Amino acid sequence: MSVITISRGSYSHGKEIAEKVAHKLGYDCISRDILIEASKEFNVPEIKLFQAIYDTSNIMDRIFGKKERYITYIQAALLKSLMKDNMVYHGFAGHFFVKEIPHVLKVRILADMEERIQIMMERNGISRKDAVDFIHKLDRQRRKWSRKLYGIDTADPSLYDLVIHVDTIKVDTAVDIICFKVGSKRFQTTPESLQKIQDLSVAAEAKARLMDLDLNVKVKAQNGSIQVSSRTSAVRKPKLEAEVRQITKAMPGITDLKVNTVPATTGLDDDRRCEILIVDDEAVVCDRLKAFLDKDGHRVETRVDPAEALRLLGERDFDIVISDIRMGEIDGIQIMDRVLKRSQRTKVVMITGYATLDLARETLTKGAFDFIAKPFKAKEIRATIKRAAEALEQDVQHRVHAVGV
Amino acid sequence: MNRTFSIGFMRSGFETGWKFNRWYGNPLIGNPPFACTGEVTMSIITISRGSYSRGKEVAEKVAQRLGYECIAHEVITAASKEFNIAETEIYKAVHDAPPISNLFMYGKEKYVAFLQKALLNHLKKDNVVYHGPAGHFFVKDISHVLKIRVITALEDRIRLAREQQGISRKEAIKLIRKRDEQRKKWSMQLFGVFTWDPKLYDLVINIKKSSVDEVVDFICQTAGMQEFQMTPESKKAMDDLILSADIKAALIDLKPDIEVSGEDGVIHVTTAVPESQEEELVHKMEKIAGGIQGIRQIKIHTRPSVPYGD
Repeated sequence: MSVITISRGSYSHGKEIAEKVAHKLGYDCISRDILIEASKEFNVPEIKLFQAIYDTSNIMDRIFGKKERYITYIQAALLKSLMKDNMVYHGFAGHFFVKEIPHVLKVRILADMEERIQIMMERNGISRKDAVDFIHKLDRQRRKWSRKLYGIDTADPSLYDLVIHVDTIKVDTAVDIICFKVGSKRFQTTPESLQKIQDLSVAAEAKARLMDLDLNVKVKAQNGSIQVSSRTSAVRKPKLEAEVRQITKAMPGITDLKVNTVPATTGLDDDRRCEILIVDDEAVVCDRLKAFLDKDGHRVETRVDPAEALRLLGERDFDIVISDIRMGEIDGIQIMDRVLKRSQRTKVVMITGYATLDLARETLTKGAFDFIAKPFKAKEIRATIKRAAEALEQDVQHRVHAVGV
Repeated sequence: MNRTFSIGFMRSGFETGWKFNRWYGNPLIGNPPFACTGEVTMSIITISRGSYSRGKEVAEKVAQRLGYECIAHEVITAASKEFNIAETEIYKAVHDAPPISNLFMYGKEKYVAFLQKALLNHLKKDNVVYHGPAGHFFVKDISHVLKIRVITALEDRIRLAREQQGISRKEAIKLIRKRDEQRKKWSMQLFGVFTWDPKLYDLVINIKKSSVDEVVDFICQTAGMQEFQMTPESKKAMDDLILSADIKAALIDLKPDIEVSGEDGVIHVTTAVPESQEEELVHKMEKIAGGIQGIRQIKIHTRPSVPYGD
């Protein structure tokens, strides 16, 4: 009753050793299977998960938060599998995810460089020089990846319980050594250590499912009760709580839920995340604005068709609505009216061209929060959204104050 | 220019009598599964360790369990006696980072050569656990030497340092950092590697989660494996290494830059020498090397060097 994780470089016999250990102990041996499970569970193409792990190029990183999300999916799937116990996992980052679990034996396999070169040359039919370059590149990539994501160096031996250098030691002996080591009392699964891994698993799954609400959400679990911490404005707290409850309700094994919100106290942009709707019949304006506001951490919806925007506004509230004034049949004024009728606290920001500048000024008297004149600059939008977020905050404080008195 | 000279077949090798001892069966089912029977025959174990990492305790217990000799500073003492140098000087040479200057560097290299000779002569006896400095460097190509590094969590080391030295936490951290830094510089400058590089060892064992006794069991078991039993080839390699170390220690006073290696009982000495002095130097070297017990054949390779000021 134990779990073994085997970390390895490419062409290092790691896979062979993992399979032999599993066979000898009668354990399950898993690796890529985790990606397939994560892909099913969280409805993401497997190739995306694969890229998240193995592709360290900057293109992936530029896509905001995607990578972290995929890694969390993989983590959740892996922990769930390891709960079954009697497992050998080889492949990516097993030891990161189970650092604190006492019954997991964390092994790293090092291969003789000369042998890795030979295997690489044979398998890929390349020259010696290419093989050496390729191995160095793979190793560098792997180290860079783990440093970036976890701030640690995979080559650091202190991350493992055991580092085996497969050189003098042969593969079969390495298998013997691992089987022998895992037989030690220390690595036997106990009810406590199983509970620990279950807690980690529940927390990882909850986090994976809640990341759509807040990318930086923190989740802790203990004996089935979970604690969710999210940085959000006080305005959104009740809604967030409801959403969290909704999402976690579907997950088995959760008996109790606590939601902590860390209120926005400073003027930092990421403390003032808002739900924003952008309505503009020009798709390019929508996309530009969304890309920009996404970057600031806001949650943004866009609608090109004003009629559809009206339907959406009938269903849910937004913190801020940004709307063009002139859009064919339905114009921005109608959108504003609908928003303010439903929710007084929502801030409406109009987008206006030169031709409708007077009209835009007029909307201010009718309840619009502000307007942005086209062509707009990033700085102006940020300033306007920031003021709107502050106003939202103040509204809440006033209300709290009024109730308090 | 190569010169060859031979002195009969005199190698008085250590008695062999090694045999294979395979560790077999499934350790999870075996009964008792991890008991160390002491059946390990003819083996050498080097244990590298950081300061305050419980490595010493592990080494001593492994030796006790296997009925091996456990050595560390004995080697320094032996080197000090043989070459008539204060122990503290050798200790400094192998513990402190050497200064960059070659002048001092050669001084250090001299001590390292003496230490290597003393260590290898201890290992001649076989059935030895060595946990002093640089063990794995000196025997890196000998397959029947089990090379182990023991590491532990920084927190454990701090605790141990405080217990042993009676110092504050802050002082303990400072002390450990300093020792690690020294060791790192030293091994980098003398051997061009970092001691923490796991590739230098057969096994790196983290004792964070285990007790000392468990680690001892584990090492004893591993030492019994086939890979670490002496073979005719590994014995030959060890003989060559011992003889090379003897010759290097004998010749280093004459020429601090010599490189010595052995193959199949033939010892190759390489050095740079000005042409005018070649005859004399080679003659001297042959004379000194000829006096060393066990030598069969020595080849001296010289390459021309330009004296300073030319």
